[in-house]
Amino acid sequence: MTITKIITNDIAVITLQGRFDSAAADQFRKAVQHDFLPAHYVIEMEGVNYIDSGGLGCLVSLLRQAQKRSGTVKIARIPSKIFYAFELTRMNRIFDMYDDTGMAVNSFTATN
Amino acid sequence: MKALFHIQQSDTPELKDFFAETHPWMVKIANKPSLEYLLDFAILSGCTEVRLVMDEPDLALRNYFGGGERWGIKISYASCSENDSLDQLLTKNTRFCDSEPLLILTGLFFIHYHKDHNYQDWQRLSASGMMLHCSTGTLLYGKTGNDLRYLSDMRKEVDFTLSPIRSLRDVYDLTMQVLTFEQEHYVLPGYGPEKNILIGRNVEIGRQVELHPPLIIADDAILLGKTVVGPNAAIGKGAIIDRGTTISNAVVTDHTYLGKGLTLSKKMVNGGRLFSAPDNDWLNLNDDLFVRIIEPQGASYFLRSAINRLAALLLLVFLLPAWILFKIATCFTEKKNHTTTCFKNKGGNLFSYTYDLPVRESVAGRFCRALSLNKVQLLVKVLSGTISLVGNRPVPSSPENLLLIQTFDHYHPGAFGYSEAQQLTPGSLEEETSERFFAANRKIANDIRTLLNILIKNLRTFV
Amino acid sequence: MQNLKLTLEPTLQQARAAAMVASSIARAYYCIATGNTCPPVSRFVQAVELSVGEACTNSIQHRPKKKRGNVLLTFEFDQDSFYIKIRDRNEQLDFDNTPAPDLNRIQERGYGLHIIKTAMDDASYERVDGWNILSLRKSCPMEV
Repeated sequence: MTITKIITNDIAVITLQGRFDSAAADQFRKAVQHDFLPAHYVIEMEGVNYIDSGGLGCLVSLLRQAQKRSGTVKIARIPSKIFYAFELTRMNRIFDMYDDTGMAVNSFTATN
Repeated sequence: MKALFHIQQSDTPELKDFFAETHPWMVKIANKPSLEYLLDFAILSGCTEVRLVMDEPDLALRNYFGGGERWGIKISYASCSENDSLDQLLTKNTRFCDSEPLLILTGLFFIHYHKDHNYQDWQRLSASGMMLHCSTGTLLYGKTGNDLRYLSDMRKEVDFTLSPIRSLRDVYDLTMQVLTFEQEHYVLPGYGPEKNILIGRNVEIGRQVELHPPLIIADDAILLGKTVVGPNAAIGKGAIIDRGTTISNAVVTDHTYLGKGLTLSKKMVNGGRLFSAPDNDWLNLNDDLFVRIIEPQGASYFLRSAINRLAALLLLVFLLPAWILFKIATCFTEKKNHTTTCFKNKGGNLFSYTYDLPVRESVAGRFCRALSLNKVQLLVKVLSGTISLVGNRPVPSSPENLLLIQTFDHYHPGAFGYSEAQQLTPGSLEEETSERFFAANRKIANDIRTLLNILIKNLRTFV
Repeated sequence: MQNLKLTLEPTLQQARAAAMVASSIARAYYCIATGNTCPPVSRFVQAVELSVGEACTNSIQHRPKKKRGNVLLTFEFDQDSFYIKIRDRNEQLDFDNTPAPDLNRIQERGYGLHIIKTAMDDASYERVDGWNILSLRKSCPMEV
């Protein structure tokens, strides 16, 4: 899985590409550990072609960490082929989902 | 133009209780899901893409609407949180909403329109940011998604109206209204042999059944002899109406069984739940109506048992030579040696049989199925009186299935199964309804018909 | 093709490969069974890929530390259904009594079996001669 991240104004935009499964879980956990931890995250998932319970667990874990810092995690540009896994586990109710990354980022500034 | 439909399940508690697992958009008005009417309207209005935004995903809805191929449009899905405002909805779906004119339907309601009218103009002539309300939802139109952030009431006269869907009464009234006055306004499922009669595929209509229009009967429904259906009746998919029952001004939902000699008027039945329109209330029925208990009577029981064994013996005599030859010819081919243990009766006793023939998809396997040679082991069980010749599809033993057969009043496994004749998917609701119905209404004539059906069907699989 | 067998080394990379192979076979089966080309987002293929991925990951993550047995996969199909069997020699699994996750609470783990049981039409477990055998079935998708 390819992970890129941009952090601005206490918001990290993490772009994922490839398969987000249990084999990629450690890679994701390491990538989101920074010296400076932002409050909010936007996970852009357009390039993800598969997610399993391991990947979903990583997102939940990140959400918990963010909530401890009064932040949250939003999902952007989720492709329909992985939406199924979110529905099966009802994760679609836990994460706010946006079809545009910029709007997801702006939604934080709108509420702040 | 695009359309975004939005719904929250928490808006419809009464429907949720009565229709149990059914998503409010899948609740049917005259045998057609409420969402499909909205979809048809969006298409008539010139929409080529529709997004369905829900707080609770629904598998049945997904399977039914899929990617929209059946309607020639593109359907996509998105989720929303509880109490998302219109503004949040637009923000979360910015890419979808911003590129072209947009129709938004939020809430659960019905649109009265006419399929032959032109709906391409009302929005073009309307100012952007217009809306039309009913008590359970709103229809909005904007030339861009952004226009919908500043709304005003629709002043232009339009050729459609909205009706709220909040209660069971609304669902019942709308079904009656569509059947009685608006049947020609919509594309409804089924073909019409006569005016105001719509009948689905594979419907079985018994002798001396009376049909009084307007009515609609969905696919796979069974009306047994002397039933009277209509006026104003909607019979759902796979519903079974037993002998002599009269249904008027009533709705029978999918896969519901109605017992013998009943009169159903001004009511709506869903499985074991009954809504009465005059009382505007609903109740849970006990199983008396759903499946009537018919105990096997002494003489006919022994007669059936004797006929069963005799017929099994005849079949065995006919099949055994082919079976022996086949075993010799295929002794070196790959085989599936699989022992299955099934429940013998409601008490949880078991019986086992071994399937040791070539795998089903091989040519030898198909040949063996065509001649019903896979039934030889089961026919021996019929001779020993363990199972019937024709009966329920044997239920494999497991803790879950034990719970199932304990509530299965007339379960009696057979070498040839009722639902096998109808080619129903094992484990489906259709199969369970059919199995329970035939088990409760066993008749020698039915058994013979089922047996012949399966034998012929098997032969055809090879041709 | 009557059945296909696959042996996996117990690594998560191999579980990933198993899910990808399952997806390809399910797609081929879809085309043969329905006579149509498989749509890019087919629920049937997604269900098979996810369930096989979850089952293999479970097998690999729950293997005893000193035991390095392989995971065996078998794919079979007929006109009506697509069948998958996943075998391993791990400790016995309490498949039927494993509680379903509370979907109203946020939790990080415990979704694997829930996904398998929800996505497939049948999922059953048996223990035979020291082998855990997970049998999965998905019906042939009906034509819309």
